[in-house]
Amino acid sequence: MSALKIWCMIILLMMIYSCSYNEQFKDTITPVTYQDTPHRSADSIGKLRRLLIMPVEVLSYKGRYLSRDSLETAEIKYEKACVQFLTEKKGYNIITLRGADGKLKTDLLKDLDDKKILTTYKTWRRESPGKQSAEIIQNIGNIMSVDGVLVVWIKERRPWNAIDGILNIALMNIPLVYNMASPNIGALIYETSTGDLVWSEKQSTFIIEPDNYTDSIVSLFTDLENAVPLQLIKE
Amino acid sequence: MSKQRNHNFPGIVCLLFSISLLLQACSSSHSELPDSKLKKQGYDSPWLKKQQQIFASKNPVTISTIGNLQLTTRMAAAAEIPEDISKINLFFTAEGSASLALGMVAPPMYASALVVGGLLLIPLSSYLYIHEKNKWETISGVLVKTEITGRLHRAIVKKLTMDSVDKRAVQGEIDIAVHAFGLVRSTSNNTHCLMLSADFILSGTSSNDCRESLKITEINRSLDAPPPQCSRLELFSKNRGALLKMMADEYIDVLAVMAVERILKKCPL
Repeated sequence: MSALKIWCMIILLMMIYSCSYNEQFKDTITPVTYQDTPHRSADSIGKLRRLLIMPVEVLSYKGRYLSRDSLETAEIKYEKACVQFLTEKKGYNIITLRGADGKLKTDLLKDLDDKKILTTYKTWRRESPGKQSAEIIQNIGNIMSVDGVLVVWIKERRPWNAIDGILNIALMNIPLVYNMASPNIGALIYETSTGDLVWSEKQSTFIIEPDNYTDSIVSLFTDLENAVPLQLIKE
Repeated sequence: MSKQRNHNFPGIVCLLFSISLLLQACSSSHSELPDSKLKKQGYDSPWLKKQQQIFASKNPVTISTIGNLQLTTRMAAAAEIPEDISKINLFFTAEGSASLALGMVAPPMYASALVVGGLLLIPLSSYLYIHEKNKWETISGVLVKTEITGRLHRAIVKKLTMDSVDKRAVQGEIDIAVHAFGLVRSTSNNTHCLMLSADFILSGTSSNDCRESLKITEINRSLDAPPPQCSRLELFSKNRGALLKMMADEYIDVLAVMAVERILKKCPL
């Protein structure tokens, strides 16, 4: 087998591997809003039953959103989908930084530099959380009285066009073209007690209907453990 | 000429072997059972029958008295075990063998594709078969070994004793019949949900009998029940079914709390 074939095989395998994976980073998870329950294993993510969701970060391609308002509407739509799924299907108590009107409530974070935080949390996913980030997470968690902080992002991709179709036929590489048209989505959970990253899920999913990414965002949490039920905790 | 015959001989043997495997795979779907659903789920297998016997022995009827209250917990159904789909992979193993065998007797122009295809299919499908089988055995093993009635009974007695029900002058009979427990296919794709459902009957009190369904299920769950744990089977079987064990125990404890809530609040004693 030529070197080129081996190289192509490695790239293909890497692409398949990169399509979806989740990871858990810590052996001990500690809630802060209630007394730890013996019902769950030490590393159970479900112990972080009260979570703060940061505004969903939407990275889009040129021409997808014509104004800042339409982008914000999309952010709110994704955020609502996450909150609904995590509350109804997973039993989490989700706190948001938005008011009933959908506007960000900047006064919630009190003395923290909220404007700075609302831009820096977007960098957390690109780098391993340092000491400074951990401190910010702990501060946010303590002020909002939550067990953890949830960060969700989506990188939208332009849907398939004629060139992609031709490329697909010419290259005979469905996974490659499939991946090029798939949005990247991800979620990270940090715990308040230490400020450490404890859980992450990343996916690259193919969308048939370009305007509807909510199902994909929600699918990030399919394998997340349910929150500890209210019946079994002591506040 | 004789050289060519020697080359073809193992190919023909392989071909016959593959055809017999294929026939076996096809014929295995013909069952004598009249109920197609039962046939599909493999309820006729002696292994599964034995497993359900283990489950029944783990969950006997438990009766005790707390003050003047009589509490009975019982299991009214077998554990719901997901369908074993590992056998599907055997079909691909057979197909791979057939492809390999055909490749040995086929003209050189087609032979390489058939042989390479066969060589890829056989190990891959065999691996998938073993993987799926292990996953299913882990899950079914955990489900049938779950002690429900005993644990539920102990949890209710403990909670009622903590609430001093044993010292109050109350009479009655509480009957909790668990009529569904196990993993069932979810309404969303590729996931299964762990569910637990029981009938709660409180009788023999001064007021009317109280009867309610306590459901930790995906559809029609009780208002005070938490959402069920739904995930891929892969996750349930991970670490020897650690998540499944943990969630099953948690469900039983939640059910106990729900039952006690009804005894103390909703149904007047």
